[in-house]
Formats: sequence, C-alpha cells, structure tokens
Amino acid sequence: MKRKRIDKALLFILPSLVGFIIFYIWPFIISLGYAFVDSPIKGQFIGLDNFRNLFYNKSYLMGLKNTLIFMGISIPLITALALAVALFIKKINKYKAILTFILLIPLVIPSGSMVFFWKKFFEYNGYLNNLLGAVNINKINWLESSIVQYVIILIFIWKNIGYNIILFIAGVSNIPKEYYEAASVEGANGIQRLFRITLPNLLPTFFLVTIMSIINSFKVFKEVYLITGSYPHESIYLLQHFMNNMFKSLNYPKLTTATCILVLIITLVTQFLFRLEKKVLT
Amino acid sequence: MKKLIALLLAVVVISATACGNNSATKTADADKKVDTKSSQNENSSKNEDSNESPINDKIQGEITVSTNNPQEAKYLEEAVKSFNKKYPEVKVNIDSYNKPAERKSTTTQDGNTVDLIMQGDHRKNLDEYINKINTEMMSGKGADIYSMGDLPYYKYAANNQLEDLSKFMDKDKEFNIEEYRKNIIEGVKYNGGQYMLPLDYGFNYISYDEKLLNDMAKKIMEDKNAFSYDELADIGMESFKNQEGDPKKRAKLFNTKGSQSMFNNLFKQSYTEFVNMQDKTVDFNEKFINRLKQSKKYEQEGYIDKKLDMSDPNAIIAKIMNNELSKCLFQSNFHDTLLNAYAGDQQVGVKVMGLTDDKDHKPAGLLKNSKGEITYDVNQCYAINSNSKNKSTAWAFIKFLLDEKIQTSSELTGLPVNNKAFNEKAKLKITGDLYKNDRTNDVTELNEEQQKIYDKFVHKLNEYSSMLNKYQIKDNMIDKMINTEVDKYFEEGKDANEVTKNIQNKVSLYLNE
Repeated sequence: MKRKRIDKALLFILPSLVGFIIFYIWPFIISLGYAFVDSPIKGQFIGLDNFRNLFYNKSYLMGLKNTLIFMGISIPLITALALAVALFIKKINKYKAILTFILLIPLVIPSGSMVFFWKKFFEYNGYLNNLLGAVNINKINWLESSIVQYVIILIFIWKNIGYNIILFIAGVSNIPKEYYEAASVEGANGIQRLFRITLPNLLPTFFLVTIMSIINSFKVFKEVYLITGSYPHESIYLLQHFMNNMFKSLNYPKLTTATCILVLIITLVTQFLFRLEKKVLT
Repeated sequence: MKKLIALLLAVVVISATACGNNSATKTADADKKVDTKSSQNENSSKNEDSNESPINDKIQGEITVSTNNPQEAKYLEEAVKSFNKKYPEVKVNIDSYNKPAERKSTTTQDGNTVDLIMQGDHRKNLDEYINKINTEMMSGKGADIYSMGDLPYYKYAANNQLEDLSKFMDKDKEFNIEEYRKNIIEGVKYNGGQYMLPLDYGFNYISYDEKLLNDMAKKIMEDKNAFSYDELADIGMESFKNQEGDPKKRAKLFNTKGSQSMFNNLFKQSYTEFVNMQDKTVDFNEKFINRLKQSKKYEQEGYIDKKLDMSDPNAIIAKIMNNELSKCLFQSNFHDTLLNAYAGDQQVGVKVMGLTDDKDHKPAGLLKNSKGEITYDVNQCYAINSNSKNKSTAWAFIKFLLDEKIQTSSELTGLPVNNKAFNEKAKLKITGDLYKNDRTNDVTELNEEQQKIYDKFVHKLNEYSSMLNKYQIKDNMIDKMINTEVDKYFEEGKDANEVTKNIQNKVSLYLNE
C-alpha cells in the first residue's frame, strides 16, 4: 500500500487555513444562497433575477464605475511613483534607511488616528482652507465636491506607497549587477538601462505590486467610510459603500449578488494577470 | 493552483473590505430600502397564510415588547398591570433600550413649582437600537412586539419582517374599527398593508392674533380652515408692516425662533414635494433652495425671532412667568394648547404655555402643503414581529393598548385613537384630573361651564382630526442627510445651491440602492 506523504509545509499552515475556511470561505459559501432569493426572510427562489436587476440598479452601477475609475487612476499612479522613489533610494548613498522608514510610517499608523487628521485637514473649516484663507484664496469644498476623489487618491498613495517601494527595492536588488556593467561597457545610457534592463527584470515585481495595489485599493474604503460616511459625494461612492449599506440594511440578496459578481471579476483579473506574467516571462 | 489562489484572493478582498464595518465607527447607517416592487407581490401572498388563524390561538405564554423610548415604557408598564388582571397567566416583558428623560423642577417666586422635562435623547442612539433589532430579526428572534415610533417601519414591512395586522383586525370579532379614528389608523398603511397600529396621534394648528391682524386678513382666516406658510405670509404681511412703535418690539410674523427652525417647519410641510417614498424619487429643486434662502430672509427682515438660547432653562421659565414673551401674528401650536383657546379665564387643569404671548390668539386651521396634504404624527405605534412565536397573544396585547380606559392614561401623550378615550381625556384635561394618580371614575362628570368648554373644544378637535389626511413615512437616514447639509448652510454659511445639490445626490443615491 502506498503511503501518501503529507507535505510538512501544509501542517504548518493548517491552523491558519482552518481559520480562513471557517471565517472567510464557509460564510461566503453559505451566504451565496441569498443571491438566489428575493428576501432574506421567507425568501422564494427567483433564479438569476437578482443578478439581472443589479445591472439596472443606479447606485450599484455608480459604485462600479467609481471603483473602476479610482483603480484606473490610483494603481498606475502609485506603481509609477513607487518605482520612481525606489530607484531614487537605490541610487542615493546617504539616508537610505531613514527614508525607507519614513515612507513606511503611514502603513503602521492606525486608520482612526489617520482619519482624524485628514478630516481636520480637508474639512470646509479645516487647516488647509484656513491656510488658503491666509493667502486670500477662497475656501474649497474638498470633501463634498468632485475634488474629493483626488483627496482619496492622495490618501491611498500616502498610505500604501511605502509597501510598494519596499517591493520594488527588493526587486531591483535582485537584478544582477553584471547586467548593468555589461550595458555600461556596451555604451548604454541611463534611459536605455532603465528600459532594457531594469523594467524587464522587474516584471514579476510589477505583477506583484499590481495585485497588492488592487487589494489595497479596496481596503481604502475604510478611510473613505470614516471620513465621509455611508453616503459620500457621488464621485467616491464605491462598490464597498453599496455592499456595506446593503449589509446594514439586511438586504442580503443584493449584497451577496454584488459580492458574487465582484469575486468573479477579481478572479478573472488575477487569472489574466497570472497568465500575462507567464506569457511575458517566457 | 494559481486559479485557487486567484479565487481565494478574491474572497479575502471581498470579505476583508466589504462587510460589517460596525467596529470602525459609531455613526452606523442601519436602514435601507428594499425594492418594493418585488416585495409588493410578496406582501399580499406571504402575509396572508390562509391556513393560519392567529385569533383562534389561546392567549397565553410570554411576550416581549421592545421600545427605545422610556416614556413609552412607562405607558406599557401601566398597560401590563391591567392586562394581567384580564390575562393573569400571560407574562409581558417590557424591554426599554433607554433610561427615562431627566426632569428639572424649579420653584418660582410665588411658590409655584414648574417642572421642565428635558427632551429625552432616546433618539441619540437610534442607530445602535436599529442595529440591535435588525440583528435580532435576522437571527430569527427578537421581541414579539416592536414600537415603531422612531423606526422606518416601511423597510421592515417591505422585508416581510412585520405582520400585516389587517388579518388580525378582520378576523377578530372583538375589534371594531369604527370605535377608533379610522383615518389615523388607515393613514399609516404601507402598500395596502397595516403593518403597525398607532395608539395616539398629534398635529399642529395655526392661530392668529385677533388684535394685530387687519379686518380683511381676519376675514380670510375665519373663512378658511387650512393654510400654507406662504399663504399666511401673504395674508399677514400688510398688518405686519403697518405696525407702529419701536421696530425691535413689534410683533413677529411667525412664532418660530431662528431661521433653521423656520426652514424645518417649511420643509416639514412640503416634504412630499421633494421626496416621494413610494416611487423612490427625489427632486430637491429651485423651490428647496428658495426655502433655505427664505428662512434666512425671514430672520434678517425681522419676521421671526432669533434662535432661542436653551443653555439656561431658568431664564426661559422666568420670561414665561414674568410675561416677557414676544407677540406674533401667526403661531403654529401643538394640539395640546387648543384647550387654552376655549377655556378663556376658566381654570382648566394644567395650562400648556408656549414661548410667545398668545393671549389674543384664536385658532384658525391647519397647515397644508401645495398638494393639499395635511400631515399628522403618530406617537406610539406598535407592530408584530414576523418571527414571533406567540402572535395571538401579541395581537391581544396591542388590541388592549387601544382599550378605552388604558388610552386615558396621562402617559399616552397624544390624542387617543379610541373615540371614547378621546372624549374622556378631553374632559380630564378640562377638570385637571388627567395627571391624578388616584382616578377611580370611568366617566368624568362636568359642571355647566366645563361642559360648554368641552363642547367647543371637542368639536374643534374632531374637526381638525378629520382633516388629517397624510402620515409622512419617516426615514431617519434621509432626515439625517438633509439636517447635516442644512446645518452647513445655516451654521457654516455654505452655498444654498451646493447644499441642495449634495442633498439631491445623497438622498437619490440612498433611495436607489
């Protein structure tokens, strides 16, 4: 009789895996049933009606649109900025450690404290408007006009850039120095070295940074919610606002329907990224 | 393997960020609308279980009544004592989420004791209360009966979380709708279903100062019985502007204190012009902007007084006792003060006083909006939880709360829906026996003078009560959105157009979810 060898690594991750299944996977599976009924209590099976109706729901469509716009702007921006800062840090000789440390601080500051500051900074009678008033500039409604989406992008970048910088620094550190030496010998300039050596070798890091940025772009909802509440300005009404509000109003059918669609989209996106990575690297 | 990782990542992202953010903040927004179109069809079929006969079940066991208003809890406790005399084997638990309101007593110079009841802040933690009952309901439990006074009952009704009481009302031979204020009870129906039963109601009426208005204006006031604020302003403007003497000491056009209070009054009357809860549409348009500006203008032009400083209640009481109150041409009064108009110099029970000198005021009619709607409020109203395991007993208790004797309790602060209790309570107010603890008579006897006052008072109350035709469905979330933005206009000087646009977007977003 063949004895199956259990990978020792699996034993180590088993406790976390069990917790993950109990608190994430299992609740997700059992809540799926709500997506196919019309009411959370005494609901009747209605097939795919919830899914169909969701795409006629103005608030859901607005949340979806805003989420895609936010991700479309913030992810490339944070990636480009993180790369630029990482390359700069790699280049300088002094203060590398302290710069990296400063850039990582936002990541460890509790959201509650951070939100308190941002709110005081950007509110209508807050620090920034007082500063503008001191130089005779009219007050700007930072949090209740379409400008708020840029405020959120700023907060997102401020909070998460440090993490991406670390990833890029690690990625750049893994590029063999011989490549640059050979390129220098061949007469390649800085731009050519960047595009021919650095960026191609950072492709795996790019994929990782993109995936982590996608995850973090969803997490920014916490700060958005704390600053602007459940019903913010329409330009930053995200998918999570819709889902959070559905949860609080016990509209589980709409909530789980939206969740299913989002899981599907994220699965497809990450699948696409993995395949693209594989194709590009081979 | 990568597909599995992708799927797991997706689940982690959704689970970690999408749901249950209660720990992050206190200001939870717990109410939501459900698409009523799909639930409309369900309401008629689900709540009507033809095989269920709740009335025939024996009245026994234990039920729980939940309320977030401690004032209601006092009324309920009184009712429970009497209910247990009729049904000694039934146990009724009252679950009050908040403590009773604070009362401050002060003694005036002439030895009178004045009780200032600080408005209970039971609505401060309304969101937490809603979260609590939502969780209870979703877990299949919860109280048997809920007080719907502060809750958006229509959402629970749309989610099939409340019983349609009409099946109880129709099948119960002891219940006769003709014994109650039919327009008040039926006015709170939602999508044709009677999801809650009001115990009492209230309304505001308009009075005018006979000595300050000119003859033409007085004639109009006497000929009509329903007015909008705009009509009143037109009627009284000439009399207001023609006043002689120091402009600072002149009577005001309205008794409202402060531009924001004025706006609240204007908005409350015209609510349905901006928000349609049935169609889930909103239209915060030019008219809304004009209302904001109009309210500010009224205060700037001296049509209304400035906002009252409530930080020193003793100073306010002193003003009342020393007759230092300002006059006004028109006053919006709570129905409780209608008795003052007919009592004349007669000593009638507890005199309800306002914050203006209204001794020359005469009742004129009710406030209406441009659609002719005359709104009323309900104070205590109760609904049966669909999860209740003892619906027959729950119904028996709610029906008992409508009993004639129970409804004459002083703890029921509004006008009773029970017709006999309505009349009896009017008598008790006249004789001053309403707040006596040792009332023994079932029917109050009036002397000749009191009878005359009673006839006029009840006639007017009945006239006004029959005019009430609109119960405004409450939604705490919409009210909060509007109040937050309107505050910014009045307190922070934000632009009216911007405020209106924000309200339009937020409320529209909320209703369309």
